[in-house]
Amino acid sequence: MSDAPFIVDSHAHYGCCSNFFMPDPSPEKMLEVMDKCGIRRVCSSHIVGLYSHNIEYAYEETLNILQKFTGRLYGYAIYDPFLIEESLKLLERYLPMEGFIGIKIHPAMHEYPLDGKRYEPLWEFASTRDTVILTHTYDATPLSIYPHEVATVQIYAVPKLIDSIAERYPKLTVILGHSGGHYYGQVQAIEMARKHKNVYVDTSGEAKGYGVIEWFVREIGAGKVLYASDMNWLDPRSHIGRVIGASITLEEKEAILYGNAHRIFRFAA
Amino acid sequence: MNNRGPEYRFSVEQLQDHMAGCGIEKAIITHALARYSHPSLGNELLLREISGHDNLHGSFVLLPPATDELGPLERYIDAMISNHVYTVKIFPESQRFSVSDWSAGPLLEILAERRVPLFVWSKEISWDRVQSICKKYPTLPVVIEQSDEETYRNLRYLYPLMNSCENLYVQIHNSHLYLQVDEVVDRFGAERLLFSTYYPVDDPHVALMIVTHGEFSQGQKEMIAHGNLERLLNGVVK
Repeated sequence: MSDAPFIVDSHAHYGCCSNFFMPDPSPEKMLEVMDKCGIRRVCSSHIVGLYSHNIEYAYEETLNILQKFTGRLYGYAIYDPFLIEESLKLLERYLPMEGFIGIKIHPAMHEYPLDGKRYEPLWEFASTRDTVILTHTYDATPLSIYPHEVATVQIYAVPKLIDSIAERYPKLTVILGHSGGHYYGQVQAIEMARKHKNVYVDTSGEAKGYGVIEWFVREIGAGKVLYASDMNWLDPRSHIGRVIGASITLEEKEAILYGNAHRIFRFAA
Repeated sequence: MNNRGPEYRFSVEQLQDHMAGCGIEKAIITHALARYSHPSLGNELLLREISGHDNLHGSFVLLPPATDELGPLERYIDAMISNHVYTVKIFPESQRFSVSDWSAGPLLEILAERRVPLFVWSKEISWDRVQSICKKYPTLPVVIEQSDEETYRNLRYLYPLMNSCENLYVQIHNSHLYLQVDEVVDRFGAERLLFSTYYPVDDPHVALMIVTHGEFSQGQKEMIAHGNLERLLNGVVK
């Protein structure tokens, strides 16, 4: 592996949320951390657009960041299932701009099921434009470590909900963010990635179980796993450590840390 | 056990192999059955399992004395220390007891006298109760473990506690909020952070890289990696 930054982080965030203290969510600090950790590119969505319905603000802020840090920081456009027309207009306007590399959806925070009708226009839009969709997915079982009230909304984001969509739109590239969160969600995420050619999982999130990276590689192959951190929410070092320390081959680590992302997002090497 | 992932039954030999692979020289371990079956059984099995492994140190799970499940408290703790077990854990929420003085007072008192570090999961105890224990027993090192919980959401509780309680320590295995450990070191110094992995539930490389690539000095990394815990263990009245 190179000494220059080479890792691609496919799932991160800009902005901050009020639920807890975030030490320094600024993009400037993100750049500093990226350089120290060997991360070349980070693909992020703005938290404001996921935690509220202020998506235009989220787009504007994301664009400001992408223009300031071109070539290092990238952005996901956001689709809000309760603002269908506005979302489609913003997608048309922003997606062609430099630095926007896909679309993020958050069925749990938007409290609308991943396989619900309000997402239908998005699938139509994305399948005709060959763009990547990153969806939050999680485990909704009562034993999930989320507090109960948060676990409840995860029912809208369990990985198996992608099944009928991936059947109907086989060319759609979908990343199951957080790989379903915890064990029961991970089982579903594995099943979906194995069944559908263009469905991927990522390493981001709170789950950091021992042996999980090896389990993913064994079940679906390293070509279906993307390194992701959930920065500036969670620390990128934790998931880099999991990949680098995993009992898998160097080629498999390279695929997870940047190779798959280069292919999916069409980044130049 | 919830959210454990595909494989989580490990022998001491597997633990040793894995520690060697990660560059971890020594570990404090608890037997899972001390939490999930009964402390007396788990503590006994633990001593048997780690016997002959000089780099593995036990941590007992304890209960308040009223139900007499572990026998006379003082005798149990004497025996524990003579077996080189210098840290203890309590699970007040899942093992259903109060940590108020009318219940756990005698236990906390003897631990404070002997300066035996008390480890407790944050989901097993209220933050108010942690504060009152730290204040009432200033010679008792209280170590917050953050297992099976999204503890990165807890810094608004933790910071004022760290400000007001010098005897409060924090394990780092679930401290993976973006920049969390760096920030805590910057504000409070490295003296009260303890390296931990929560192996075999969590991947040890998570905690390892947070320390090895932390934005703090080599000396502070060494304090977190081993120095702080060694200082606490050396402080136990044997």
